[in-house]
This record gives sequence, C-alpha cells and structure tokens, in this order.
Amino acid sequence: MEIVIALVLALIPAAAILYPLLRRLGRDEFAEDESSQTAEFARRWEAALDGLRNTELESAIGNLDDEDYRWLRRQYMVEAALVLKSMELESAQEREFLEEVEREVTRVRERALGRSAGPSGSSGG
Amino acid sequence: MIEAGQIALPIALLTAVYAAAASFAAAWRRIPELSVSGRYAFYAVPPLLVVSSIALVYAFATSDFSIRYVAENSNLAMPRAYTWVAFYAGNAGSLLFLAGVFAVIATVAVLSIRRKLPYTAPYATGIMALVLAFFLAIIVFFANPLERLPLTPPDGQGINPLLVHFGMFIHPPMQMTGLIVVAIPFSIAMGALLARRGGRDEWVDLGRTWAMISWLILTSGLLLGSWWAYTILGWGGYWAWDPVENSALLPWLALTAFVHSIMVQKRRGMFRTWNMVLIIVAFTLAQMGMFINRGGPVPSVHSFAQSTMGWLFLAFMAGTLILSLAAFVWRMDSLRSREGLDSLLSRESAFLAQNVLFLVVAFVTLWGTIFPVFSEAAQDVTLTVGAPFFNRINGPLLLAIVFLMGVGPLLPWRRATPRNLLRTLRYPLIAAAVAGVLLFAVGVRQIPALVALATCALVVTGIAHEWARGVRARHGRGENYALAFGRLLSGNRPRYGGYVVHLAIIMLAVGATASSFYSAQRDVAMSPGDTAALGEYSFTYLGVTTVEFPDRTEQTAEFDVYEGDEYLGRMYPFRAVYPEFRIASTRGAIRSTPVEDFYLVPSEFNDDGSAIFRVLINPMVWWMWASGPVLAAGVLLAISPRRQPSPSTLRLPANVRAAGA
Repeated sequence: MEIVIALVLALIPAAAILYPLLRRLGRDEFAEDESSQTAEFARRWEAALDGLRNTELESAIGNLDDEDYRWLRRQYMVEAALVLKSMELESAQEREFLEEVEREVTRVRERALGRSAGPSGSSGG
Repeated sequence: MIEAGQIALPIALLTAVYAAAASFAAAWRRIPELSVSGRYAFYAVPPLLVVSSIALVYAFATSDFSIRYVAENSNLAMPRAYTWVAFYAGNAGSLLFLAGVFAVIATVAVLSIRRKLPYTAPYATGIMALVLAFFLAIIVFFANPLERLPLTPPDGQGINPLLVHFGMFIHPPMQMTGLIVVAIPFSIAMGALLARRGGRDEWVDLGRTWAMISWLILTSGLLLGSWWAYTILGWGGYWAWDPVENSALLPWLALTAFVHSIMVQKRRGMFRTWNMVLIIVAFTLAQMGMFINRGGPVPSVHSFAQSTMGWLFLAFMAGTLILSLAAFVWRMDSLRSREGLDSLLSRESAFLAQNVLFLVVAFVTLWGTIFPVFSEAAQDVTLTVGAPFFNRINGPLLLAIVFLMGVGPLLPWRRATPRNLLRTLRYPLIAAAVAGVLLFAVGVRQIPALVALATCALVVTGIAHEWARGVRARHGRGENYALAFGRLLSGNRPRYGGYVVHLAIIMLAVGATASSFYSAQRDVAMSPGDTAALGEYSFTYLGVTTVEFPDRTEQTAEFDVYEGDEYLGRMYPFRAVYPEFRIASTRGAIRSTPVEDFYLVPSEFNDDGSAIFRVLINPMVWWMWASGPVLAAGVLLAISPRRQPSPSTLRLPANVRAAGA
C-alpha cells in the first residue's frame, strides 16, 4: 500500500520535472534580457518622465518654490534628452518625443490637480 | 492518510533539491528546458506539502495519539477549533507550517517574476528552493510531525495553555510567515545580483512589492503579538523587549529601511550597493529570529516552539550570510550607482539618514538581545538587558526616525533649498509648537513625551496639509471633496499609500508614548465586597466563580466598575491553572476606549475568595490596535497596480539601437 502511495505521490514531481525536458519547453525562456540596452533606455526614460511628473505634482501642491521647480525640471529634461541622444533616432523623432514630454507633464498637472497654471515660466527646460 | 503525508515529505525534499540544482544550472548554462523543469519542480512542492498538512490535520481531528506530535500538542479535552493552533504549537508542526506557507507564497512569487525578470528568475527560484529544501531537510531528518510513537497513549499532553487564545489563530502564523517571506525579496535581489542584473534596476519593482508584502505580514505579526501579550500574559504591557519579540523586530527594522531605500534606486538609480546590503541584513536577521525562537541561547517567555536544534538554524544563517557576502563581493563591480547625491537637503538624503537610524536601532536591539550570551561567555554570569536600556537608547533614535518620517516626504527628490524647506514645513512646525503648548497646558510635563507627541503632530500636519492642498486643487476643478480625495490617493498610490502607513505608525507612536509615560498601576488585595480606586475609576470586587475542567481550574472574578459616578458595567478578569503544564494563564478584563484602557487582572486567588489584583490605566493603547487595519490599507494601496497613464506615444520605440553600439 505504501509503495502505491509513494508511486502516486512521486508522479506529481516526476511529471513536472520530465515534461519540460521531454517536450523541450521554454524556447523563449532567455529570449528577452531584462537588462538589454533597450530595457535600460526604457527604464531611464520612464524614470525621467516619472521625475518630471512628480516635479509637476510637488510644484502644484506647493512643495516646491520656483527656483527648485525649474532646477528639477531642467535636470529631468536633460536626462530625457540624454536618453534620446543615446539612441539612434531621427532628429525630428527626437524633437517630437521631447515635445510630447512637455504635453505629458502639462496633462499630469491638469489631471492630478485641476487646471491651475504652474509656477511662472512653466517652460523651465 | 497519515502514510501519504509521511511519504510526501521526503518526496517534497528531493523535489526542492532538484528545483534548486536545475534552476542554478539552467541559469548558469542558459538551458531553457532545464529552467522550466526546475521551475515546474518548484511548483510541485506545495501540493506535496498540502498532502502532509492534511495528514497532520486529520491526525489531530481524529485524536490519533500514535503520532508523537499530536500526542504532545493536543488532548481529548482540547476544543476542536484549536486544531489549527495545535498544528503549529510545537516545533515540528510549526516547521511544516513554515515550509508549506513559504512554498505556496514563493510559488506565487516565481510566477510573478518569471516573465518580467527572465534572467534573474532562475537564480531567484534556485535560492527559494534552497531555503525550502533546508526546512524540509530539518522536517524529514530531525523534526517530523508525522512520526509515530512505538506505543499509543490513551490521551495526549494537551496544547500549551498560553496558546488557547483567539489571537493565536493569527499571530503565530503571521509572525512565522513574516520571518520566512523575507526570503522572497532576498531571493529576487540575490538572483539579480548573480545574474549580473543587480546593478540594473529591473528587479526593483518586484523586489519592492515583495518586500512590502513581507513587511506587512511581519508588522501584522508584531502587532498581533503585542495584542496577545497585552490581553493574556497578564502584566498589563504589550512590549517587554523580550529576545523573541526583539528577534521579530530586528528584520522588521532592516526591512523598513529597505522598502524606503529601494525607492531611491527606482527613482535615481542610486543606493544599489546599500540596498543589497540591507536585504542581506534583513534576511540574516530573519533567520536569527528563527534561531532564537527555536532553541536559541537567550531565555524568553515566548519560545513556545523551542527545540534543541537551534544550531541548525545558526549554521544555515551563517552559511547563507557567507554565500550572500561572497556573491555580493563577486558582483560588486556591477552595483555602481547611476547618479550621486545632488544635495544633502533632498528626499534621498532623508531616506539615507532614516536608513542609518533604523540600522542603529537594529544594532542596539541586537546587542541587548545577545548580551546575555556574551556575559555568560566572558564572566560565567548571565546578565540580561532590561527594558530601561532599550527605552533609553532606542527611544530617542525612534523619535528621530518619526521626525524624518514627517520631513522626508515633504522634501523633493534631488534638491531643496533651505528656504523652500522652511516654507513647506511652516504649518507642520506651527502645529507641533501648538500641540506642545496644549499638551503642556493639559498636564503633559515629561519632556520626552512632550517632544514625541509634538513630533507626531508635525508628521500628521505635514500629511494633512499636503492632502488638503491636493484635494483643494482638484475641488477647484469641480470634483466634490470625497471624489477629489479618492482620486488624489489613487492617482499616486505608492506615495499616498506610504502616507497612510505613516499615519498608522503615528497612531502606534502616540499609543506607545502615552502608555509608556502616563500609565498608572496599582496592586491591590481585595476580599469580596471590597471597593478600591485608581484615578477616576472605582471598582467593587463581587466575588469569584471557580469551575473545574479535566485539564484546568478556571477562576473568574466579578467586578462592578465606575468612572466617577458613572456605572461602566461588570468586568470579569480570569485565571486558569493547568496543573500538568504548571502554568497559570491569566486574561485581563479590559475596558478599552480611544482615551484610555482600564485593565484588571488577577494574580492569585485564596480559598476564602480574596485575591490580589493588578489594576492599570493605560492611556491611548486603543490607537495601537486601531493602527493595524490602517497600516494594512496603506500597504495595499501602495502596492496596488496602477493604471498606466502614459500615452503610447511616450513609449520608446522597441529594438532601438544605442548610438555607437
């Protein structure tokens, strides 16, 4: 009886272990590297955008004065531009991205905190 | 059924060993099918442990005293509802519980990381499988809960009486789960490190999410443990800096530092080395907690699952620490930060300062906890370190952490000017000053308490002010206040979830401060009919009722309680004596309000019905227990998935090449 139970229970891991080996599963297992150059750019790009969004939010609720706001905004815009510069993009495409960043942060401000205008000189870049 | 459970354990062990070996080999040699095979093997462990767990529950349910563990941890008189508690009441069962719960949660973790972190996942799976294999090896070779006795006794020894409490249904599982689940963010971080991805930040999101889940479970365990101690240990307090309490606090401190510091890595690509150190420290301290809990060298009132196998846990802790540090040194070159600190006046600097403070508190607590071991080794005398030591050293440090908790989130990332900081802090500082004056006026004269409560006011005002500004801005757009508040919170969940958690911590801090500095206590001998008083309360002892049970004698006292002239009702403090265990379990009668707790607990009853009672007034303890749900809500808000607001035009084109690549 115990042998039967052992065999039945052993079937669970045996099937789990052997099935991928016999069927050669997982061809795409290492296909996409989470640390590829593209992934690194995407993450730095997202970090820069997050920084910009956050700066808008902080500024709109009064946590930043004009000087800090402009400084931070410039830092994040430079980082976003650096990411684009590091990639082989057409200059028109690069310009388009940066303009879209401007529109995005404006949207963030409006969406998150009403349509109040930002601190003087929302260009900042 | 029992046989199936017994056989499942060694099969689970072999499967976990295979999962570890296959995952590491697959990650090292990049063999896809072996990686899948290792992962599937990992998935196969939980069902096997479910079979063993069901077998143990079945043995308890049928009072099968031929099983040693059942005979040692239950008896015929035990209420069936406590089968769940009996499951983990002893060492072997609690190990099976740990292995089972870890296998299930780690399976969810592996499922969550395998797509997003394809190179990290096999290493992380291998590490989790190793941890699991360690527990299963101990169960199989040293502490098998399904081991049979040569002779079957007619009845069991019964469950530890201190565990017969509602809190025991949740506190020990939470505490044990919290300690073991720290292995998940550790595995993710170490997996990324071994895969040479630790210096990149892909693992950060999932590492943070799992760290916060661990943190929530550990915090819940600590809170529930304090509540249990408060209601059943009968000394009127909730935290005694006992070694087992400290052993759960230590990883909590390191993990708290980690969940903050990991945000800096996410935002700025900084603190990569520091975060690795923190998660290694957190995992090591979690293992130390298990070591102290299971036969560690320091005495504790809580070591209900104590055993003589502490050395195994110590060896495992030492082994994983050495291997982690070796991996850390080996891959350190990949951990360079992308950026540096722009200014000392910034949110990341506040996080760093707070991190250092957390680690100092952890070091002080660790030193105080293991000091008896050193004193015994050096002088042959076991000197224990008491609560005054911890309070004196850790109190100011924790206060500084609370202060940073108020200031840090108000600072912007990267840089703030002093003028900006003062402008942001003006309302919180005014509120702190006003609170200080008001508290002084109402009689709070102890300086540490005054400073602590004023600091709490600063934190709350900072959060409330920011929320108010956000809500006002949204309200100006036409949203009603409730909607504006809801959308503000859901618009930036990590941030506002964090604020909610901070509010919960303030509730905890207020309760701890008020009850530490302003509790009143009196021990009073009373005979039936006597009336005594403490503060505004008077209480009349009406008598005691004694009820005999097969395993215990229960004595319940009856009191009429008044606050001034107002009759508050009848209270029933309780004491049960378990002769076989030589344990008396007391349960305080507590009238709890947000202002204060009136707490009555018996010491010992005499034959004529007279008894000595301890009576306490503990201010604001209610807030500590109320902080639990708030804290859980905050963590869940912080880790809940957010809608992706970015329009697709902002996504970088895929497969773009690096310039010059």
